[in-house]
Amino acid sequence: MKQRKTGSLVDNKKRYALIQELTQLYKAHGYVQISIPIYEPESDVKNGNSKKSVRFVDPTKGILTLQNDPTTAMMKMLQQEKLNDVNKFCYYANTFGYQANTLQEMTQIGLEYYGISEAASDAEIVVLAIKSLLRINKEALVEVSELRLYKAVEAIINQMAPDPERVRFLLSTKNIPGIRREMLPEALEALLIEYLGCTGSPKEVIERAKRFIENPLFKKKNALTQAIHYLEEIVEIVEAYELSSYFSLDLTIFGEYKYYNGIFFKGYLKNCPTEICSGGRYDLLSAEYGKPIPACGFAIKIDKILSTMAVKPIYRPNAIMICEHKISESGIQIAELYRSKGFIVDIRSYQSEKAAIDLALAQSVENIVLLSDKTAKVINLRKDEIVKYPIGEFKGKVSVTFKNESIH
Amino acid sequence: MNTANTNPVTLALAKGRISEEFFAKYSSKVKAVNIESRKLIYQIDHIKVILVKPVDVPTYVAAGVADLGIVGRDVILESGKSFYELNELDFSKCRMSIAGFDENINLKGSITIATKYPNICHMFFPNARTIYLNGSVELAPIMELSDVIFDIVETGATLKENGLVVIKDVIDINPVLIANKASYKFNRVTINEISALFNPEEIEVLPCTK
Repeated sequence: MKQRKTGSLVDNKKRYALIQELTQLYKAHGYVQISIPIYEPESDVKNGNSKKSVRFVDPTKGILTLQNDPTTAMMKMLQQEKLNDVNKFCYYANTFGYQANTLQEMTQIGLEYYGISEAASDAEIVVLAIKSLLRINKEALVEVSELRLYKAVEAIINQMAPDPERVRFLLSTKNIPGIRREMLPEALEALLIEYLGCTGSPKEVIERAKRFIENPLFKKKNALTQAIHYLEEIVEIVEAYELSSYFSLDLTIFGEYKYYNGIFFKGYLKNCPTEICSGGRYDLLSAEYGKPIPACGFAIKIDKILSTMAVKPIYRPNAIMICEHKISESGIQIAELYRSKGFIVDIRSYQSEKAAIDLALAQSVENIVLLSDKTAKVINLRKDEIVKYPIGEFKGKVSVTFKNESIH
Repeated sequence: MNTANTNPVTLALAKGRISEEFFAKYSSKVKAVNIESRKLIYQIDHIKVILVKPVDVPTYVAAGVADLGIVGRDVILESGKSFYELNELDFSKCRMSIAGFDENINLKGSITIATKYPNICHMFFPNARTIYLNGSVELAPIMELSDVIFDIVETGATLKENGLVVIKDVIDINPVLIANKASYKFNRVTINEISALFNPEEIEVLPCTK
């Protein structure tokens, strides 16, 4: 892993290509893309961290805050529009905040699923988080928790531990020797150590959690049984997508924001030193802005990915580069025909095939068409496939090809 | 070291007393390593051990260059970085204490504390004015630069020689096995097995399946 500087033109292109790829994934699952305001009145920011937020004064609008939590911004918009039905939105936004006293601009992409509270909707966002990570790197893992269980444990800690804050910290750092040294009541120590074992492959953790909630220190067993059953349903749906190997449970993790109330998850990529994705259910957040609306979603920190690891090549779908030694009328007509069918087409002159491929790779173009008087050589860079057509046959193929179809 | 899982992992070990005592104490579990040499990287089965300055261990682990680290709790706390703290090693134990001349000084008041550990000092004494020193901290109260010092105390001999006494023991310090949180997710079995080498019963309380 090497720390890399972001902000270069190359990174900007990668960032945009990644955003396009992920946005397309979300749209394919019925999410509608919306834009996020870059600033908001400070009074509207109810869950932000005031130490991190960037504020400025406008003579007419008063104190404004640069965007640092698109989820709350979307929630506010939803309330203003009085939308009551099920809504699925995706977005990408630049967020601003101070980290170590330095102003940071970060890009995040995410999605929000409003209006319904059921395991299927939670499972859908977990599945999309996994699919998102797999678009970036094939070694990915999303780890899910259920905050109803965490909050039940937290309530017992608050009641029984002499220093609850310290015990919560020890729990968050999986520090078993530390917990043992705290001289906690025996029953609490045993509970916490058993709780720290609720991590690993979903089915085994579910079984372990079922035994765990039988601990006599838990008072509201029904609610916890429901929570475990809810997790089981999510596990089954993720399995149906055949994504189990990218999915695990750690029932001890919890979110930085207090608005999470059901499942909570974090996403990791191998060789990336921190989590790059987090999300969950936050039914309580909307009440801050008006009517309570069930909601779940997640956000991916694009800059964290770009700054810490090599992203696998991303190709702009439906993008074609037509190359000729000298741009001709025939080439222009083919380009126009493709454009009329919804493709993005860049027409270029080229010296050598290698130079054309390098250029296409730099532009994240998926297909190159090398035209000559007699042939059309189509190279799909993503699939690493080459097909050569007689020029007449190729022109015939262009006339019937549509967007989202292979041009091969 | 022999563990069933063979996922390669990197362990950043604090150079100096911790690494010496580590190799001495776990000589039965660790193949003989010639720590007299100037080598900084050792391969022990599937574990790559890198020897780094104690203060750099949190940096290596936080950046994911090392999956694991072994370093004193003082260094971890001072770094302010967050790790999984999977085990504590039973050697090189000491404590961090407040020392000075006046045993009755009000430590909750607006005192001046000289220390090599300003972040930890602020955690425990938020009202105090902290003066950062890089060494020979004991000099500060003698030269009236500070009221007291906050430092690591092992035997107390240096304090005694300079006429200082321990006023309050603040925190016990020993080497800690830390893990990068993301690395832990992908190498859970291997890392728990390594952790269990230092405290065999731990493997029973951390049942891991992935």
